[in-house]
Amino acid sequence: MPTPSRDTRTPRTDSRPQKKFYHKRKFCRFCTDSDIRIEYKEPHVLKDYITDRGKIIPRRITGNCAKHQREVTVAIKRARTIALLPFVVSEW
Amino acid sequence: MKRYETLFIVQIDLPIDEINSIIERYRAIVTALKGTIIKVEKWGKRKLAYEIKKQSNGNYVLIDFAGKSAIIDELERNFKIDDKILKFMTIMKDGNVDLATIEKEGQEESQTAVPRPALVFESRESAGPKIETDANKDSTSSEST
Repeated sequence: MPTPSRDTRTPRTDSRPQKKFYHKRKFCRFCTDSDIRIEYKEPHVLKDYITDRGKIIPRRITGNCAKHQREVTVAIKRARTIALLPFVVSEW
Repeated sequence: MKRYETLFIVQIDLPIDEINSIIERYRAIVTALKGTIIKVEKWGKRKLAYEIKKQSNGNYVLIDFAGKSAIIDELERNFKIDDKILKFMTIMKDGNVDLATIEKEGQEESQTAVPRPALVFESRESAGPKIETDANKDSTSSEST
């Protein structure tokens, strides 16, 4: 039995034009400015890539390229283990 | 020879010469096992992002050295049994360095304290992480999520 194709963007009964999810192409901040070093010891650079809750922001929102997003993730995780960045910022 | 970087956190409520003697002890371990120390940075007291052993502040020390991996084992063994070390982390910076470049770097590095302001993470009611500097005390983050 063939699996039905699911197109979540255009429901079949809808006659609206297809909504395109084209975001403006964000640039990778580290590719354009190679002075900034991604290091776990510099939380002031990394804090732009975590939410206020302490979670890592995905790449489609920050606009990083894949390579630098991987480096940022590794640096954030290292900074978390050495208490330079929190794991969780809990609200009370 | 590989190049490593060890960052460890010492308790703050110790007299200064005791902290220095702790750092000297670990320097001696590195040099005893024939490693070359490139730099030792003392970041001083910082607020921790989360509580470690019920302490919310810690004294950060960074040791940048090159040597064999046996040095790491010995250092971490000593970190684990020392009560005054709250946390430690060692990473490898470079897999292949030769002695000449390191010694040159070691002489160039000065031991001035690099100002490293701590980030203050507060509850969700405030805007987000702030940088604790004297210049600006207001929030520097603008979260768009």
